[in-house]
Amino acid sequence: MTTNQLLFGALPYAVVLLAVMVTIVRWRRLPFSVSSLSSQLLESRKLYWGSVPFHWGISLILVGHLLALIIPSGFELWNGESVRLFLLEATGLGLALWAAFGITVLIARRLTSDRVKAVTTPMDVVVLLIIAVQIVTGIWIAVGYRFGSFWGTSVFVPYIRSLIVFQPAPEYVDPLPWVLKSHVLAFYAFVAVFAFSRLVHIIALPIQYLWRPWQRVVFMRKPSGVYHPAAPRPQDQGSKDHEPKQLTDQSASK
Amino acid sequence: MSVAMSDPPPRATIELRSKIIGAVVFVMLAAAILIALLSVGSASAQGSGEGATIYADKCASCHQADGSGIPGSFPPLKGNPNVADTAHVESVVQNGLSGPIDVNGETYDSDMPAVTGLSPAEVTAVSEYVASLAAGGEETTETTEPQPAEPGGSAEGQKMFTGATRFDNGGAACAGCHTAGEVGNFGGPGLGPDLTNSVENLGGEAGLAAWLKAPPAPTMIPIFEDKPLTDPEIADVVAFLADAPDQEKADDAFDWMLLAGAIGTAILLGGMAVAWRGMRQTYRERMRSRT
Repeated sequence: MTTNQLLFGALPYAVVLLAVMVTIVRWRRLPFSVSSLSSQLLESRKLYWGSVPFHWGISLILVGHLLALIIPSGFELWNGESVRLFLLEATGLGLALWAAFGITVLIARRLTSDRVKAVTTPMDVVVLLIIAVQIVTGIWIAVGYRFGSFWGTSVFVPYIRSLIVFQPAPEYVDPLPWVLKSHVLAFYAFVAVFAFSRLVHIIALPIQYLWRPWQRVVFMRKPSGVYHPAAPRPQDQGSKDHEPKQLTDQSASK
Repeated sequence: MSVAMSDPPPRATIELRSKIIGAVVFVMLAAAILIALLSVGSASAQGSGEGATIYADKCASCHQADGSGIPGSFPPLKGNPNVADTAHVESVVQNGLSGPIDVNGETYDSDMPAVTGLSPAEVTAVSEYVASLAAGGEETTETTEPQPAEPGGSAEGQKMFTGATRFDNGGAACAGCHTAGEVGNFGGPGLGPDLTNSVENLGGEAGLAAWLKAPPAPTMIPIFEDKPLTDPEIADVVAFLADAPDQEKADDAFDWMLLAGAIGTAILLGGMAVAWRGMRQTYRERMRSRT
C-alpha cells in the first residue's frame, strides 16, 4: 500500500461515502440547514461581482469536465484540429479566469464586510480556500501543462472510470506533476467537506422550477381534514357558513 | 393537539434512530475503505513474473528480445561487461541512466527512464536475468518485429501526431502533451517535452521506433500499455519526427492562449457591467436613496 494508492485509490471512496451518508442524515435531521444560508440581504453589490462569475464559471467548467468523462472520444476528435483545440482551451481558460475573479471577490467580501463577517463560520472560509486551490491549480494546469482537454482523455478519464467501476487504477496519477495531483486532491477535499458545509446547497438547487406549472392561482381549498381554526371541523357538518365559496368575477371586483 | 395530527415519536426513539443511522454510516464507511484497500492491493499484486518475462515486457522494446540492442541508440546487454554486476543493473532499473556510456568500444548517449511498476523482487529477478545476458546470455524465443510494409510518410505521421488521424488502438495523440517542428502549443509549455530533436536524442530512427514500441516514460506507460502503436503508425510518426528539425518552428514566443483567455474573461466582466446597469435597485435601496 503506497501513499499514491491510499490517496488516489482509497481516499475517493471514503470521501464520496462520507458525503452521501452524512448528507442523508443532515437532510433528515436538519432539513432547513441544506442551504447556502445566503448573505445577499447583508451585502449584494460585491456579491454580484463575486457570486455570478464564480458560479457560472465553475459550473460551465464542471460541465466540461463531466462531458470529457462521458464522451472522451468526442474531445479527441474535436482537438485533432489545432484551431478547435485552441478555441476549446482558450474558452476553458477564459471561464476559469472569470471564476478566479469571482472567488477572489467572494473571499475579500467574506473577510472585509463586517455584516458578512458576522455570519461567517470557519467552515465557510475552509470551503472558499479549497475551491480557490481548485481554481488556481486548474489555471496552472491549463497554462503550464497543455493540453488538459487532450491528454486528460487518456490519463484522468481512465482513472476516474476505474474508480467508478470499483477497479481503482491509481497508477495513472502516480507519475504526474504535483500540480495535477493537487487539483485531484483538492476535489477530494471538496467532497470530504461537502456534507459538513454550505456546499450541500448544490443538491438543493431548485430545478423543479423548470417544470412546475408557471402559474397557479388558488382562491380557496376544500378542507382536507387537517385542523385549522378558520376551516370547519369534519364533525361540523350542516352549517352552510363554512362551505367553501368560489370567488366569482363580481365578488373579486367588489 | 389536533386529532388529525399523529403524535411525534418519543425523544428516546429519535435518539435511538440517530444512533442506528450513525452506526450504519460508520460501518459502511469502514467497509468501503476496506474494499478499496483490498482492490488496490490486489491490483498491485498482479504482474509478478520471471526475469525473462519482465525483460520481454519492460526492456525488450529498446534492448531487443535477444539483448543485442540497437546500434547507435540503445546499448546491447548481451556480452556487455557493464551489466555483469546485478547490483549495478538494479540501480539502473530503479533510477534510470543518462549521459554517455562506453560499451565494448562503442559510445552510447541516450536517456533511459527508471522502470516503474516493479516490486523489489521483480527488480532483482529482471536484474539477474540481464546479468546472465552479460555472460553471453541465453537466447529468448521472441524475435524482432518485422518493419512496416507501407508507411504513409511524414505528412501522415504529422496528422497522427496532432490527432487529425487517430491511432488504430486508441492511443493518445502526441500533441496532447508534446510539441515538435511546426506543431506548437500556442506559446506555452506542454505536459511532456518538445520532441523536435527526438530522433537525434535517441540515436537515430531505429532507436526512436524501438522506443515508441513500448514507451517507457512513467507517464506514458499506463496510457500506451494496452493501446500500443502499430508498426505502420510508428513508421509514420518516426518519419514526421525525423523531418521535424527541418520544419519551421512554431511561433511560441507569445502565449496566444493566455491572451485569448484573458480577453474572454474581460468580455464576460464587461457584459456583467452592462447587465448591472440594467438591474433595478432593490426596494429597500430606493426607499433609502429618497431619504
